[in-house]
Amino acid sequence: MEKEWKKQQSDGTIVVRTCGWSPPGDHPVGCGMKLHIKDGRLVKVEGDPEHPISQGRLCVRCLTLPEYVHHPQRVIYPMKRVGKRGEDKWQRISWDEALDIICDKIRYYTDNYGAESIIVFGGTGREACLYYYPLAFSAIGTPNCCYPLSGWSCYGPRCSITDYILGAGYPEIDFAGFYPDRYDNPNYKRPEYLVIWGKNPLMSNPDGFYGHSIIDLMKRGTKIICVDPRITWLGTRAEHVLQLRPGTDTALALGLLNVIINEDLYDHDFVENWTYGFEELKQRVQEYPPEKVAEITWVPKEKIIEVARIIGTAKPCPIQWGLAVDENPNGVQLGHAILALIAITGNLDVPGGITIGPPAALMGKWRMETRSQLSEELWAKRIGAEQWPALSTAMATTHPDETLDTLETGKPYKLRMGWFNSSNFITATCSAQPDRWYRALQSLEFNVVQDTFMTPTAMAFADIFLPLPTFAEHDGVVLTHFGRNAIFMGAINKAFEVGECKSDIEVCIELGKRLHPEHWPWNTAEEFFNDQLKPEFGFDFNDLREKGVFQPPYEYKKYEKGLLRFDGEPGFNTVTGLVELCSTLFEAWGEDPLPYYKEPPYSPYSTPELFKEYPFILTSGARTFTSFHSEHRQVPTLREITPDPIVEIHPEAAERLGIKDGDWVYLENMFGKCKQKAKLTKTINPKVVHASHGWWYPEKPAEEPSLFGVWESNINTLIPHKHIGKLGFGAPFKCLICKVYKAED
Amino acid sequence: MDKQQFLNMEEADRLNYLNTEAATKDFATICAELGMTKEELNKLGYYFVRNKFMAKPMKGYGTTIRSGNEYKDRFK
Amino acid sequence: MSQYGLLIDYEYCTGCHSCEVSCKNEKKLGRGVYGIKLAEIGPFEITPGNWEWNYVPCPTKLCDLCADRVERGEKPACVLHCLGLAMDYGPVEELAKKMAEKGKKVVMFVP
Repeated sequence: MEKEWKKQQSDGTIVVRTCGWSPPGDHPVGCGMKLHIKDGRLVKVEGDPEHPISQGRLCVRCLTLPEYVHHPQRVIYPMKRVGKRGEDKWQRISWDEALDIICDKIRYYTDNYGAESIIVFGGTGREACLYYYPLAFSAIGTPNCCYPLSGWSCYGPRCSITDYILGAGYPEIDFAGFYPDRYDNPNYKRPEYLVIWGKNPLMSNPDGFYGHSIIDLMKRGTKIICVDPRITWLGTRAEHVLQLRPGTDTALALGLLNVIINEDLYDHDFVENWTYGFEELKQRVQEYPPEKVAEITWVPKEKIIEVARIIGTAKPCPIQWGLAVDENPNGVQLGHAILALIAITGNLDVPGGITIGPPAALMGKWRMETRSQLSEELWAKRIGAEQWPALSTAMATTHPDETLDTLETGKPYKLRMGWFNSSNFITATCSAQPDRWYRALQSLEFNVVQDTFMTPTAMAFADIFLPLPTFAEHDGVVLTHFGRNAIFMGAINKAFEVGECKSDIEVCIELGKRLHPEHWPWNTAEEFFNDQLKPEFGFDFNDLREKGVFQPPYEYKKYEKGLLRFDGEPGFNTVTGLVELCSTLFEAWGEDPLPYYKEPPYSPYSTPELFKEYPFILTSGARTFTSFHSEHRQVPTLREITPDPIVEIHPEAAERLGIKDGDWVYLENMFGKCKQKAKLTKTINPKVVHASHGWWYPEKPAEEPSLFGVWESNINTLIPHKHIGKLGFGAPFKCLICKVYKAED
Repeated sequence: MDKQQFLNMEEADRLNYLNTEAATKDFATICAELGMTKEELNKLGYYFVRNKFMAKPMKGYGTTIRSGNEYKDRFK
Repeated sequence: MSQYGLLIDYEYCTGCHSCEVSCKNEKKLGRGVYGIKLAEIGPFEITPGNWEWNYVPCPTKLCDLCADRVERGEKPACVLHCLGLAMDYGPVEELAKKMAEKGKKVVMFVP
């Protein structure tokens, strides 16, 4: 890419090259773009054709960035609440005053109740994911940092399973992202087939994977297999769609393993040399013959056999696993089974297969290292760590469900101060039973919220509001998979300023300097990034700016070369040094060491009586092009494209209920209810409905009890608390039951 | 050797010791002599797998030691 | 002088709306007014498992094929930003050749 990243045009417009992250959010995809600044305003965003991954392409969320940045409702100065909580009464204050108030409170709670009485909540995907950990551990000094999603059901389970089974960083399909010349590189091999499991990357760009790379691969001949309860657009272009009953994925994976093992379609060399527990797995999968799996999953037996044969024989044939692995109490077993499928078919760490990051590498590691600044005694107080070792070993957070219990009961100790960083979680984004969280959070005495807009969560709880800059207004580094499999790394460049906003790292530095100066030697974000980059790569932040994008070289078959283990021995970084088809650690934690299927907690088969009253299987959470979870609802152009929360219903089911396309309907079950707009489509099974998440209405009244209409379409009120797997991971967000009826109001 | 003596050993020596014992004794005997349970050994990161003791090489965020496997170490 | 056109490969148009929005940005169009607008056909099932579901962006009379951008040596805004890289711009003869090579699910507009 061109060295010059900032240019002035003849009409005075300044054009700044950058890679995107957040806010407004997305995962760390790092798409390349050019920001056009005129008279201090962002006037246009253009794709950057030089960027090796996005190649000029840009989605509507970045294309409408000027509407977001200069939105009249955006909060751009620090604010102090002057009314009661829930009243829309605020006073603008200076950063000094805000930080003085906050530091006084932190010192007060730390001195009187211990630092553990302070909790930091973080949201998903945004840049805050890199910084809310050190904010807690290093700037504030509390061991309690919480991602308030029941069962940690997003990405964390997959990362942890990978750590325990493969001893490696996140497994991602090889889309030639490491190579400047991409798919043409001679070391690269195009996948023959690509299995996309419980995921819609075209819209979600998951964890930094550039979703439309799938289209690039399809154009080059890769064939697609979708595992999804819905026929998506991609499904209509796929060679096979396994349209399964929501929540039965693990049975399907075991059925595929059954066929591949029994028909001898696995890679004998890999299995013999690099796996542990194959015989045990072989025995286990005998319990899942295709006919039985067909009954469980509603996928025809012939389809299961046909797809298993493809996975066993196509070379390469990577499987891309999605959120459906996490949002399922049986999900650890699903992840385990999918990794087993990838491993025994010889698709691990080979060209065009599945790439794996080294166990701990690249810049993202720093955020976890800051935890060493806490004493062991304080670290042991982390909520839920003792009870849930499988979660607390790989994740540096509290256990999310235990955290709600602690808020409600004051046990083992009372939480008193909250810091909400980029998380609007009473909206249907992550928390299960957000109404219950909402009530429990009332017990916090003092709260800080960092965000860009006044969200329902901020309106309900903030005592101090700290405004975040968008990615166009601050310096940063974006790296895919938060460093767990960093396919590339890009510079985020500050192009201009709006109001008085400070980025996550800037707030960490300022707060850290006041409270724990020994840990915070840096004066600016740039100094901080220089210190992170230089020892690891030998170049500094300015060099990265000039490079634009840095693609580290990739080494295949690391397990043969001693590149996965800390001791430099060949093999994987697991207890046995092998891919653990039978898991030593799961057994040690009291779980079955082998994958098994367990029926969802509520389903036509596990709760047949309840199913008579609630006769639909409810799944939720599919993404759209126009929003990142609860974000972007206030951007006019995007709202014009996606005006309402949509629930998808099959026309036959809708006809029975007297529901027409476009009718507002209620979805209701034992736990809660919400209102969404019906869309009739045959792409969904007549017994299944799919609802939208992340909805609130920035145009509705801000104050209590409305809170921007946050309770009206809140699908997570139908999801129960703490219905999680044995190891503490996975909640049934995608496999519940409900009834549907026309809204007459 | 009792539990305290075992815990006083260096980490690397512990694994060697356990495997020397495993050459002649069964798992239950080793546990009984140490006065430790399987769970206690697991918690320390030692697992008895196919008649041999093995250690989990990385203890998640229990340790923050640099892995030696960072970018600059791998690609000089 | 050759006539220029816009080629849409609707096998790979994923319905992302980037063409629509980038065109609005380029032409500074208000809400409800479009230089190019996405149309959706389907989804419907022809035979079991055989689905038809297409998105096709259609340029309107506000489309001048981004004459200013092309003069500066840039691609039309919709072509540059298309996530599926499913759009192309050029002389109609060249685009016709590309259509014949592709052989299916492709359309050309001369707005």
